[in-house]
Amino acid sequence: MRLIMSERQDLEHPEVTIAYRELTASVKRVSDFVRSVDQTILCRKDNEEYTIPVSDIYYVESVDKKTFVYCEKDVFQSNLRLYEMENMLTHACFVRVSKSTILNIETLKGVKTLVNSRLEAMLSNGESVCVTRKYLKDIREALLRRNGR
Amino acid sequence: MKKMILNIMATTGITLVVLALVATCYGGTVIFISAIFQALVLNIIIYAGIFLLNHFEYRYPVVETGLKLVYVLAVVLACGWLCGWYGNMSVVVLGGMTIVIFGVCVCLDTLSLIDEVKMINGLIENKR
Repeated sequence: MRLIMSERQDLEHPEVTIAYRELTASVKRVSDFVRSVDQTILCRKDNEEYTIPVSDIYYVESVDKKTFVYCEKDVFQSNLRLYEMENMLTHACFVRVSKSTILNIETLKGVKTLVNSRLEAMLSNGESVCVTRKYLKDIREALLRRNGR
Repeated sequence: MKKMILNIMATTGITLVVLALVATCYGGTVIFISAIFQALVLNIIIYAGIFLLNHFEYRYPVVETGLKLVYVLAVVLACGWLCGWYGNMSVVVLGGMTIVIFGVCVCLDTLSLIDEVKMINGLIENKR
């Protein structure tokens, strides 16, 4: 895939044009990613509403039927249910890692096994998230798709 | 599905090896063909149950392993009663064999998990 970038002063907002002969899986992945760059989610914190860019979200967790959105340093709450978030964010490199958590693959620094056979995903902000073994396959497939295989 | 079939075949093989070792200790020299098929059917039943148990998430992996061991022991001892194995071996020996086979399978499973985690970490490194 060839990348051509050009600076144009007449443009108010950046524009992405994808030229292709055939709509392959990798072309679709690029288009999904571009769509997700500007995608935002409405969240709230301390009775105030915030619009959070999807790319800033590290992971989303559901606890006691409440959905919490974790960014690098902040935590917000969303009115959406976890499965609704998952449907919205699948094309934006989010993958389910346990029954109650979906993770942004872009923030994943590594996975490690603990002494008691538990799995932990280490994120780039130093946090770690529990991973259930049955979702390892999904994580692997998401990484393979992201790496273009 | 392919992986499940391979796993069933592998554990059936392990079962037969352990059975042969135990039989040798008791002076046995043959394994009947019926024992081979009984071992295969038993492993299929066990894997079907494990497949269903894997659909649940457990807070502690130790609880998950304990539950699976109890299930496997229950199925093996029940099959032993149905197939008339207690004429040739005691419940304790059968239970002990089951625990040994389960232990071997857990070790192999752990090694497989370590490989899978290494692969995932490799993919994460490739991205950077």
